[in-house]
Amino acid sequence: MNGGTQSRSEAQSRADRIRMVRRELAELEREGVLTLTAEQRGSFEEYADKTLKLLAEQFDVDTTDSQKRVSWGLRIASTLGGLAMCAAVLLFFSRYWGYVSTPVQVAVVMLLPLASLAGTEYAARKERTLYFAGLLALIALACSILNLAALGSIFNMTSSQNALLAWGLFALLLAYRYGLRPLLVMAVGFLLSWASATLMVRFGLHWVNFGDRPEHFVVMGLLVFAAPMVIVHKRHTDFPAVYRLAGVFVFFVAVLALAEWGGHSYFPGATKTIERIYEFLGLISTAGFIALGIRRQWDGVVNLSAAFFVIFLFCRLYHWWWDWMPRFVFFGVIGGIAILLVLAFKRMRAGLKEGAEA
Amino acid sequence: MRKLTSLFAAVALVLIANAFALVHIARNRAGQATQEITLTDRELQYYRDSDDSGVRLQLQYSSLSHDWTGLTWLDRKQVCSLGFDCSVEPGDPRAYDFYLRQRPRTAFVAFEYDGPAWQKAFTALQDPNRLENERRASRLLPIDAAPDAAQLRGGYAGRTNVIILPAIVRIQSDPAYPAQLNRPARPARISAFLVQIPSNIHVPKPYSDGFRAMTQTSRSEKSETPLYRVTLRYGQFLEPWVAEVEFPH
Repeated sequence: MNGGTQSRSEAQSRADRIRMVRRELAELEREGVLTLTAEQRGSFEEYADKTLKLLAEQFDVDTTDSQKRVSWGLRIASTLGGLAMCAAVLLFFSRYWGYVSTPVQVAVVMLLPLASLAGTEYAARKERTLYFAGLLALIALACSILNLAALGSIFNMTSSQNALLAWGLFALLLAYRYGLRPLLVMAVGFLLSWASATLMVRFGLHWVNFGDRPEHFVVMGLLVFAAPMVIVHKRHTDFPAVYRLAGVFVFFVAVLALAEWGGHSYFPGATKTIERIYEFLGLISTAGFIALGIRRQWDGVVNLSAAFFVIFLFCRLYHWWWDWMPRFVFFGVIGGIAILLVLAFKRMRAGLKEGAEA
Repeated sequence: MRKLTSLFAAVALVLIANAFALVHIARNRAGQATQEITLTDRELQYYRDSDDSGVRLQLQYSSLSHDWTGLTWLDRKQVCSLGFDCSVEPGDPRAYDFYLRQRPRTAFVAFEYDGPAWQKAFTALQDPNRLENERRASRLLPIDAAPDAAQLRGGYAGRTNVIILPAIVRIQSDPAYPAQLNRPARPARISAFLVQIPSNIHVPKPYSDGFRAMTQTSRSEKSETPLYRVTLRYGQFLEPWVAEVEFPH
């Protein structure tokens, strides 16, 4: 009956589709386009009710529009609550840790992530929507960060990039165990930072300056984007979209950084030349990702690429015209180009629609 | 019920990360300390924070190492030995951009405490305001740097007022300056700056109780007596710990 539904997001999509079909059937009946027989109507309603009930029981999905709106509120509240609780834990520790001896400090910081991990597991077993588990997982990650940071501070250890690896792996394990996309994003962030930092150390540079070589992130962003092609996600079917979005975002930010600060590039040569090359790379790559996203129906990739296309275009026009063009003319031209882009996208949309109908 | 593999992996990760850290700490403090030095409130500053009950001292070094009058603590050969590319002459028009593009590098720096280098830089000061400030400021001055700590330590063996610390060094090229009224001429040069040194030093109990009990955290202007003297010991990885604290008042 659940048609092979593996994850909560798949189940929610299915529930949404059933609700939409129900609404559309009612609309078709009202307009006299299609009227089901009593038997067909009864059969469909029975199927829809049974399926929605099963999906709600197995995955605790939203089966009505009102529930969906409340769920969004729950997600926002649990994220903000998680962040607030993280701040509370860190500040509480900071306020009182100086009054206890070193062995007690060490024991407390080591036990905190384990205790919050236990709390996360307990919450996940009790509640299928995982709002509380998500909140506690965030706290567990904060405690893990506090653990290593506090040990380093207490014993005056020279900072090392390897803490980023530990935090990234911890976040990754939590993300995959509980299906938490925010944790996956954090894991990707930590692991990319660790990889770049390790490369810096290899070259005799300080790991803290891992953001100084954006080219690391240009390559790693593409690798993260391509990860779902290699890693098959049978259980967490919503994770590939996270990898794609995170990868493309990292790639675009790195290219934008090089387009504005070419001095941070590995390539020798004039800074201005490097900046111009990366600017055009940004424009071409955003267009490429838009085309790829449309073909593969990756809405997030299309929207993000479109936003960065506008940013790269604005940057290029700014460098060409800002210094010599009157401001009102500059913004007028920007507005005109935006209108042209809208017309171009409308034409593209119409072309795609004709292609689909053919 | 979910399989427990990933849960056990997360627990194991926490335990392994902590084990690595504790083994590192034990190895740093194993055997005899590699160096020991006693510093005062001029070099180790204490800032009280109402939201943080821990006591941390900030290690400060003298700003006399960055004097524009031409006193440099690393010459070009030493800068090149740290791994920087010094192929462009400092007077070359391309020099500024060339050296700006080079990222800061890790190195080991020798700091001399209240030694001849600081005395020379201090007596060379002519600005009375700067003189007054330096009278109360740190006497820890960077005097040398090398890519290898053992190599650097060998050059200062037996000098109890010299400590070797890991640091981040960056370089820039300075243009030539002609002679002026109160400044001698200075040729174009490559300057080395310390971007960062490990400056936060945690003070454990029971020493931290003494700091929390202090009624003032900075010395009064006329006083020559330090608020405290702290003896630091450094281990195999040049990571310090507080061995002793004395409060003269």
